[in-house]
Amino acid sequence: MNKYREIAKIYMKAQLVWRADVIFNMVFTIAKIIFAYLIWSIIFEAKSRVGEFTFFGMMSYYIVNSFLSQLEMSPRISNEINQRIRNGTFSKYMIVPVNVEGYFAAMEAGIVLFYFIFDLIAAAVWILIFRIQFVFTRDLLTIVCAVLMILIGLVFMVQLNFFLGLLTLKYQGIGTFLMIKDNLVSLVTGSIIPLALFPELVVRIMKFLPFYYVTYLPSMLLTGYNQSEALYGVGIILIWAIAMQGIIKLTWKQYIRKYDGVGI
Amino acid sequence: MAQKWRKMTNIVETKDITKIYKRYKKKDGLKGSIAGLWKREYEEKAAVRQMNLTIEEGEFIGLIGPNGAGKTTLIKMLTGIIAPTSGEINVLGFYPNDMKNAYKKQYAVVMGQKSQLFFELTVNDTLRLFKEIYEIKEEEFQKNKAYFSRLFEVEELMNVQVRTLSLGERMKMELIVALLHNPKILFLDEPTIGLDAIASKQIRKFLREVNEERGTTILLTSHYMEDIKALCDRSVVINHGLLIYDGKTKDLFDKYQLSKRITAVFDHPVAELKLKKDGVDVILEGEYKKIYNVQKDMTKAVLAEIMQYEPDDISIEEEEIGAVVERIYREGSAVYE
Amino acid sequence: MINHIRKYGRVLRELIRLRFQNLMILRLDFFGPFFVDGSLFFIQLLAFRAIYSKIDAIGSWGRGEMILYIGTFSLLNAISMTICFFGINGIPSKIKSGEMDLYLSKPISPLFRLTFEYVNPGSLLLIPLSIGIIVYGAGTREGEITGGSVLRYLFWLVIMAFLYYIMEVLIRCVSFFLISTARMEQIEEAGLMLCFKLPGIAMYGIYKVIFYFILPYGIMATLPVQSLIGEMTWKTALQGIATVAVFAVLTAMVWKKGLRHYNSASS
Repeated sequence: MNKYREIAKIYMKAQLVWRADVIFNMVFTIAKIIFAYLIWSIIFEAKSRVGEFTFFGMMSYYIVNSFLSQLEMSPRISNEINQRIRNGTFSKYMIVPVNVEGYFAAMEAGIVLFYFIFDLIAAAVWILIFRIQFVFTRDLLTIVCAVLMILIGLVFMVQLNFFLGLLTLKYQGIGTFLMIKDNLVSLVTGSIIPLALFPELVVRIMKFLPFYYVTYLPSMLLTGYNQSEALYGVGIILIWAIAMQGIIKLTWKQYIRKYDGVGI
Repeated sequence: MAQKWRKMTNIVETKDITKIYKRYKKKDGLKGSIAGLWKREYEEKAAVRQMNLTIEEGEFIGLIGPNGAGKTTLIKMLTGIIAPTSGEINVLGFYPNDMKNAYKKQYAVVMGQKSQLFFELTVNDTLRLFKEIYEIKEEEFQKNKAYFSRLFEVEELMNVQVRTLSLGERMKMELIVALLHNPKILFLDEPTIGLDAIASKQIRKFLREVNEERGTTILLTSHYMEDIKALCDRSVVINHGLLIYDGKTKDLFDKYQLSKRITAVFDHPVAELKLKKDGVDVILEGEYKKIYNVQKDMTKAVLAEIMQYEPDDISIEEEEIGAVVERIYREGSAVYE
Repeated sequence: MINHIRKYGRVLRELIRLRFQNLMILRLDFFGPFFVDGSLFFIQLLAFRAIYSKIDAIGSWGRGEMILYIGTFSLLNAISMTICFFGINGIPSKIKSGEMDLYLSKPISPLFRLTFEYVNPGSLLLIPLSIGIIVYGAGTREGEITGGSVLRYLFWLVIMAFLYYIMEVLIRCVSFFLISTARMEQIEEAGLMLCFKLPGIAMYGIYKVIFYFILPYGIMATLPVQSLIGEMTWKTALQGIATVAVFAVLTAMVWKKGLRHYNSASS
């Protein structure tokens, strides 16, 4: 376990060196909230409610959701695996005596933990400055469920991206597919607009996908919506995570032999 | 301005050029990292210090130095990729960092680590692009292409996907791409890095021919003493950004390369050799393989002695670059005229 | 001068030829960008619909104008994707890896080469799609559209495509001065995403200042649409031209300064 802690720590330290990145990341979190404020303030001018949202409910949703989706940084895992397999430097991870998936998970944990602190400060500052009447649930069980869902959701995203990265071993040109996936994920995790604004049918389909539970449902829960789905959601994402782990195990065994280290 | 001190035959002249890089000094540990977010300490590192260098037209010069000595930085300043922090540079009458196209057309640079070729395509494809970039006339283009592909013995590889070429073949192609526009100066940064003995030898042969036949001035950096010794009449040694030797290559080796490494391999077990000579350091003493560091003037005698034991194979290598540089460094800088 | 243009023309032809051959070999990469962009485009349309299904008008613009707006924005995006995006997008990594050395040591403008080195024929398909949306928007609208207004529209489209391009370059020039790992582009992404959903005419106060003068994504599709529907005043037109001119000069200066600042990564 110690070695994974060290891996997390070294990536955390590495983040600090990129000072400009830290600032950009904060600005970006802020920008997303300001932009949402702008667009929704215009739309709410004509109406007091959009769907089930009030203006402040909507803003609270955006603050929580953009905060959570900033933490979801796992696409870098699949991209890195993809690139390293293609140029032959993936061996870097194969020769060290750690579990490769564990390595990536630890790396992700280190980076996420680091940004967690900074993004939290950013979000708090902006709630104060914009004097948003922040809507937040008071129900303890809902909070516990939401936090659990976030944690499992982040793990699931790491697993998923690790798995997709491994697919490069079989399918070379997967880079494009990864980009399409990133686009779709940004939609179905509700980071563009709350899924509740889509037609009923669309929402029902999304509920079958794991992404619904990664940042969308927790954001809704924390801002006081969809309370009835709390327990059920934790169960679903947990099942997805377990299933994913099984798939990874199978794939890893089968595909790792295909790695030929071409390039360097 | 700079024209005054430029003689006609000198095509490169630098006067006290210095390049200083700033680098971030991070304290150890997480605490240090966090502290570094607000306040950063930088240290300045001089990659090249007050260097004066003159190169005449048609010379073949070797630039020697250990890793981080400042060789690449010097080449980058001479090609104009980076600007010196202070000092004057004049190459072919230009200040390189002005990045004038007229200047860029007169030199070529090959960096062993960076490829100009399009990996998925053939060399011919890449050449056509460079023909247009350098505005080479069709006739001259064909002539040069034929000349170099024959010289480098790669005629049948011109229509092969680059990624399928071996490292040695690829380096030849890099050289062809670079030489296509008849540059007056060719800067070569570690062209033989990673190549095996045969490929390096071929590359050396071609480079000599380019220098002699075409009159191209060549500045070569290399880790391998072999490269420098075989090609360059004149050598410049730099260490920690300082020029510590500038003179004939032959003198450099006579004076500073004090020993050779002899490796002997036997097909029968041989007990410890009783070498009578002083100045022989034993590096490995096995039954089948023996390695000695031998002072240069002793080589002949020691070899004769070893021969009596009927070795299966024997090899003599030059002393590695680091040891030579260190020796010069210890003796203080030595600029020979 | 003529020779100069001829040379660049020939280099351009070679770059495009090489790019095509390269794409033919990596077949999947040919249509890859189309699917990537197509999916993004589709998502934006969905989001746009979801937001505006709740309201009928923004300022003086009704549904037809909004459709014209989103069509114009995606057309600008498609033009950039087809011609220069992938080349320009590679600038930061080339600075970081030191590969920029190879561009700087050639007797041709490095920016020219970077701009046209990675054209993307796959994204071409997005252009007719966007035009389709524009035509549909024009049909939905009630007002009349004359030949003159179409010409004015095309004029503004070209100007704004240029603005789109220089903004791409400007933002990536930051890499010359800051060592960072690709966060700066996020600002561009966020700005584009917002302005894709919200036309400039709806902006007010500080937002208008930001998206008209600091990150001028707000005017990119707004001005062409305004010129098409005859809503453009002389003041907006002059302001638009001035903005583009200022950003062009700024980008040229930053690029030049960036090249001087470039400290080629070692080895």
